[in-house]
Amino acid sequence: MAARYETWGAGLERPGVVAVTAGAAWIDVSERRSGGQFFFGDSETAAAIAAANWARSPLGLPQTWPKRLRVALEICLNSAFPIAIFWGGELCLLYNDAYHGLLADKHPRALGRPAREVWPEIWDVTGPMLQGAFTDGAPTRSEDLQLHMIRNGRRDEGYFTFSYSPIPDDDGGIGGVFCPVVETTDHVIGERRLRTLRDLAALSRAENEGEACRLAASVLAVNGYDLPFSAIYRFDHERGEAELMAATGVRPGGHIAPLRIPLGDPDPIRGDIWGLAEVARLTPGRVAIRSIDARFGEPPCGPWPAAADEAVLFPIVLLGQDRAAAALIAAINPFKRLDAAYAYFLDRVAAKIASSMTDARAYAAERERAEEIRVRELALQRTEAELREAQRLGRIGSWRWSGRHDDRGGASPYIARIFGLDPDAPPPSFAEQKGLLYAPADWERLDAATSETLRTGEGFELDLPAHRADGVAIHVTIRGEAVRDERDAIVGLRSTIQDITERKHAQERVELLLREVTHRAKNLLTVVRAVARQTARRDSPIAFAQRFDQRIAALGASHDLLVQNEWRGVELHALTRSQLAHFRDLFGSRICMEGPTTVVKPAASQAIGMALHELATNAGKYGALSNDTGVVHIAFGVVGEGDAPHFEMEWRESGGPTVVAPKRHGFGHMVILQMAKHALGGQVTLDYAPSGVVWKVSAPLDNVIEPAQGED
Amino acid sequence: MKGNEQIRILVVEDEPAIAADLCFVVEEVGYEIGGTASSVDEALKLLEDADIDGVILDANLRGASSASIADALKARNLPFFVLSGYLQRQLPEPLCGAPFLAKPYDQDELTSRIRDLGR
Repeated sequence: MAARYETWGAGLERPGVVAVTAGAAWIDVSERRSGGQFFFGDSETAAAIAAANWARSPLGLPQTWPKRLRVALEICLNSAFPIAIFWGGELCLLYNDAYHGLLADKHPRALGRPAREVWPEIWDVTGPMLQGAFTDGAPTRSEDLQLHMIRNGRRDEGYFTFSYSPIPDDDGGIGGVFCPVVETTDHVIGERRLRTLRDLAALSRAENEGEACRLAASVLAVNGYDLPFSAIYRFDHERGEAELMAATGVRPGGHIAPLRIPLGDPDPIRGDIWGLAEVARLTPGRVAIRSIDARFGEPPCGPWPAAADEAVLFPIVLLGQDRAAAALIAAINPFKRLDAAYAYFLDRVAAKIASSMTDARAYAAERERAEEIRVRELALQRTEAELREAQRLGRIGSWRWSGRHDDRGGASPYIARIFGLDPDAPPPSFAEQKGLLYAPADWERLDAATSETLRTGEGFELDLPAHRADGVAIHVTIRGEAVRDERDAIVGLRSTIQDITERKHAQERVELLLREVTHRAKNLLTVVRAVARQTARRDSPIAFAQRFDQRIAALGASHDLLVQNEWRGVELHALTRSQLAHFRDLFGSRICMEGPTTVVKPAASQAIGMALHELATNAGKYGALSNDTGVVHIAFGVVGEGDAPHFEMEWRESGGPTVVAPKRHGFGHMVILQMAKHALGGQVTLDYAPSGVVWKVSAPLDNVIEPAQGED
Repeated sequence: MKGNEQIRILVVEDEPAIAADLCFVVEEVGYEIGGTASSVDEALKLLEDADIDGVILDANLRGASSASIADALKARNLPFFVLSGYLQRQLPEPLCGAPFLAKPYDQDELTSRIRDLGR
């Protein structure tokens, strides 16, 4: 640039050139002539001007050109910057060497021609601007103005920064327009492509390959100039087809971008119209070029006034793969040659899509792995929770242990529950469990069993009494087996510990009950036998049958009550009613009962029951219940508060026939008196008072009354 | 043997009907009832106070074992036999080692056992 200024500066200092001041009314230019011609310098254009036949130009011969024009032209020709001059009413074009690039093949025939003739293709834009500068003297300034000139036989996308400035003519009017201009096409297009590539690089990571394609397409769609339309197809090599992932500038599923393309299918409509089968086999760096001919119908134009007639097809090969996963179809700007810069741009776009898809695939795989791990972890958590619940439900804990006495091993949470240990503290070591969880002797049994298993590999099962940390006795079943490493060596012990305390208690209760029932059954048989013998001693065979029956039935009735109450004693009102069932109609009228709810012990219930039975039998035969008016009054309760409370019961007859004491006592008498005394361990009296029999019992409370449930 | 004197038998049995039956059989054999007891304390007291020659001992008195009575009888060298609905091996010492009659008993066997107490 410095050299150019020098040339320019040297021109200023040339003799005859007077520096002008603002508002100068005149100007003097020294003219060099050569052979009667004006001499404009040594440039190519100057030569062309000199050689041109100006007679046919509206400008006329250069000799006739106004002085101002000549001055302007001299400046123009001496400039290394592209400058044009439009002169006269027809705005005829003059320019310098630097301007040739803008004209391309229009030079040199454009020289001296009206601007309208030179650029009819852009006249709609530039015409009014030029006319404005020329007629109104208003200068213009345009930056990167899009002007698609036809140059070298084709219309080309072009951008220009220029200004139109009026040039005064010699008589004070406007003679023409001065136009310095620079073509910014490469810059504008370069910027545009760079933006596309930048936007592609800035895309957020896609979740999958399809989304990567769609995201890339959203960027490509913005740049319709370089990509009038585009489509990305993913190859499904197994099915031998390509699936449309995304498209821009063209309708997905239409004729140009079908949703699916059968690879290699020759059908001209439904077949492989783009020749994608070939693209699928291309190695990275190779492309296929397809002309968009009649087969494609009327392709969309994008922002251009004409449709693309060519497309470049790129194979998209993902990192680490050896064949194309997808293809990019990029339609070419009909107003731009597919030059090296364009090809490089498209190649970068394809590479960006490839890397986005690679990332998405890696991301999807990563996510799948993470999801798999998450699912596995969830399943594991569920299994663990299930195991925990199952252990709780089965009252089973598990314990894994190396076999060393000082080792705490690993215990499942339920272990702490079984032994009442702090669940947050580490479990006691095996040695510490001695005395703490198991009595020393029991611990030694466990030690022997585990040592044996660790030595031989044979599992063990032990039922052991144990203790909770709070001292409560429990019972556990321990099952153990050897844990082996991959070389089958015994490396420890795995065991389950089950709390069987309740089962053990139930079992003990059942055993006790069984023993008890057997005992009672035998006792009862003995009683029956004694009753039979004693009854037989006194009565005739017929009377025996009747009396024996009644007595056994009475025994049975009190037994029933006992069983109903699960051997926990019998309520006295109920017992009395059952023994006097024969006289049930007289209850409330001739048989009165008085006393609180009183539960008597099983043994006492049997004695009292049998005594009541004998009393009632006698009363029915000889006593108060043998006529229509007699009354039996039964009363019972506890008397004497404090240290020696006593159970008392009374049977008092009245209103019956006059009582005569029997001369001979039989079994009934024995039951009423001896047996009751015997069973209750107290005082029993039987008074044959003439007005009525009175039977009285007084016995220590403990012998008779069943302690209330829950308090002992 | 006490010569012409009556043999006195203590019946220790908490089941009144059985105790009554036992008393009858004792009298049938020709012996005398030296007393009846339905609890351990009662039995021990009678042993102290009364003149007893032999004992019929129920193994279980109102839920309590009568082992302590057996101990006292052994100490006094008094003849006795144990009566129980339990199996003999289920009984604690010294009851399980003593002469045993299972409930329900056979009349003849009971009679001979009672008779043995007087020999």
